[in-house]
Amino acid sequence: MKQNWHMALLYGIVAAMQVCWLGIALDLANQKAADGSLSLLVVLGFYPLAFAFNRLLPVLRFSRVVLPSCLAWAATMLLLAKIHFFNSIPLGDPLWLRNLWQAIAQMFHAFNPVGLMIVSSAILWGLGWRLAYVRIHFATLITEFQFGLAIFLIVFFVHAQADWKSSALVPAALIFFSLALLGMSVSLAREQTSWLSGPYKGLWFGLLLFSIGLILALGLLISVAVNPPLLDFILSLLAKAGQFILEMIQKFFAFLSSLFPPPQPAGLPPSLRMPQISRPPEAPFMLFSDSVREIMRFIWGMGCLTLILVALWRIAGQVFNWLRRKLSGLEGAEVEQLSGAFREDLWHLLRRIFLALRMKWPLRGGEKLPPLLSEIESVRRIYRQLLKWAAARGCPRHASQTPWEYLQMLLQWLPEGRGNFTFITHQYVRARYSLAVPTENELEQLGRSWQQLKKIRSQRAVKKTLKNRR
Amino acid sequence: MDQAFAATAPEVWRVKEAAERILKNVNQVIVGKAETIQLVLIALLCEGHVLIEDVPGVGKTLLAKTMAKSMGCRFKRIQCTPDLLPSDVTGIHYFNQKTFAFEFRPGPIIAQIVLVDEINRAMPRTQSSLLECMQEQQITVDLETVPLPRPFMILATQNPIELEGTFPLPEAQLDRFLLRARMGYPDEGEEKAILTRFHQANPLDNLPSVLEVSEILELQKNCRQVYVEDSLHRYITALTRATRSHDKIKLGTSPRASLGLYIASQARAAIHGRNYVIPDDVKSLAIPILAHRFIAKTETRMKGQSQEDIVKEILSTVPVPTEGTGRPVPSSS
Repeated sequence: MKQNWHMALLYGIVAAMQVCWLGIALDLANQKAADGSLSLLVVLGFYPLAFAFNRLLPVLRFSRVVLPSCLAWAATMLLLAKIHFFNSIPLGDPLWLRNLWQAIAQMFHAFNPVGLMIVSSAILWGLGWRLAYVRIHFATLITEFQFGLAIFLIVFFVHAQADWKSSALVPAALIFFSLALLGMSVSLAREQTSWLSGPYKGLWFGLLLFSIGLILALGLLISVAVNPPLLDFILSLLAKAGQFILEMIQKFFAFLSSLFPPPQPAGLPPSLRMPQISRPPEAPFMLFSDSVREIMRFIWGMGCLTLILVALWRIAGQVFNWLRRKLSGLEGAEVEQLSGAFREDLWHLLRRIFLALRMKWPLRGGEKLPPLLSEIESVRRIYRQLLKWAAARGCPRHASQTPWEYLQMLLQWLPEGRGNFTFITHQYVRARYSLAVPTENELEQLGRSWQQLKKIRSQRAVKKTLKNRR
Repeated sequence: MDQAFAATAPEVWRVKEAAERILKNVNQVIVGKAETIQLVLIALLCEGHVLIEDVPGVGKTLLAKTMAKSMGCRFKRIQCTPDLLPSDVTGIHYFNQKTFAFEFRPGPIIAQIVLVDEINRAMPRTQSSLLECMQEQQITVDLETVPLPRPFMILATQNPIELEGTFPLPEAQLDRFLLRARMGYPDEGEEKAILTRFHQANPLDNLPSVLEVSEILELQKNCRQVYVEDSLHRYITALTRATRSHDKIKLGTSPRASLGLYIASQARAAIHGRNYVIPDDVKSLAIPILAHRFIAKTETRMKGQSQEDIVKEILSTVPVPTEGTGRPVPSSS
């Protein structure tokens, strides 16, 4: 029951996250292409409709879902176009269909409201369709967050460059971030891999809600406080500071040049009068033709762009590494390796496109082992945390020690944790070497054992400190 | 887990139950030595052969005889002496004057459990007659190939101390023994128990057999189904490869050693009631399986370092496949 509730919540969160960036992007497109004439609510209605329709198809035992889904989209889109753009023409009159076809044909020359409606409804239908079949877990939420973030960055860029005002942009972005945070927390709690499944979950959950509230409040405060005059003032201050530094540099160079004596120009011999020869005007010398220059210019541009992208990638990588190093020193924190994640995502996308086009993926070596089940990964993660935790407190594992050999060491180090250490090691060995999937109860008990171990150790440390003080 | 490869829990429990039965039965004669008994049992489940090596009088032959008797198999004994001939082992074709035809008289090797006592006292040519039967489980006499019955296991004993009148086993012969077990001296309590147990009669005389031949064959099949995780494959090969590049070893172990370690780990896991192998299985069997298969350098032997010490050194340097990298171990050399 609890699991169903969590799953429903996750579906709601993903849908709301998508609606955030979709709504903003649609608003932008609506203002630019249709002068705000298109009703956003009606277009957004495609999303829940697609979700409900595609959920219904398996219930009705349809073996092939692509065709019915496409037909349903086309029918709904036609109905909406009829109501929205050709309301005055009767339904039986084929004139509205002809007009619609003309509008679609013109769409390729100039983007019009009809085109916007078709494209946006198709995207929304596709997203609703995807939501109906996707299995939501932590990785899905991360993907949604990455994609939504990229869309928001584009929208913010367009907002800054184009003359477009939207009061909903900042709140939508804040809501998107809050939902992403909440969704990830809920998914982790559902998979029982986070502190939200531990004994202090009430406390942590309160802290999470407080953090979300704080982020929202700070975001709103910044959006209210930072207005155009304030920005202009800050920019003018920066410009004045830059000008002052430039003047100082100029003065410095002028002072340096004043230290050297000015050169005495030698008298030039009188120039001879050359006979005036009139030449016909020549065409400028060109080594390459215009088309070749265009191609070279394109290659040059692409090269520069690639270099900038590589530089950005490297900088982002360095920032992530720095963050990882900082975070790995924190108490109880575990930092997952993300090396190659971007490349994997890109490869996966390209492979999917090739597959959809019924083409063979040209690159080899991209095949990977099937991912571990989340339950097994949970057990392994807890054992990793145990290793790190014990190593940080002076009981590291030797590289040549087996888990059972290391257990003996742990028992000597902290005899009070005998039961918990043994249970965790047993579960780990079973999950690691037999790939047996632990049950839900075992996972819960594993989480409890891990929490108890940390508690025992901290109590022991407190007792030791008190004893030393006495 | 690959379902086709995984033994089910009842199958491995049957192995465990049988192992416990044998151990209990053997312990009616042999005091202690559970580890050595387990090694012999592992060899039986892997269709391997055992070389029991230790000083005289610690119960090598008695252990071999007790194990053979407990298993209810056809048992033969070969007492190796310098004048033993290959035909004394494999059998000969003799001329039957009654039937006026050559007939094959099988040697003691045609049995299911063969005790080759004091194997290093036999001449090298006699020792070599065991090569074919140990690897291929068949013998060839006068161009005639005779398959040996299943299960087939050789339990050989040798005394490593005496050199006079002995012929050290060649590498090819040693490599064919799945594992080498050592008896070791009994502790004080065990020695007292031996005195009590043997002062009136030999308990071996009335020892029942507790395992049928068909049961042994089924158990062998079950052991082969035990799951071995991919990283453990790499761990096993890393251990054997380490013997080939070790600076104290002249000649490393063969791929037969890797295979032996693999199947023996499966058998040990099954004996412990598990349908999957863990690194502890591999580590605990590394010394019995690897130590007798490589040749240490002369200077290493001169320094008094045994083959067991070298395997221990390798075990302490090769990382076990588990979470994290662990703390690197400083080299002991």
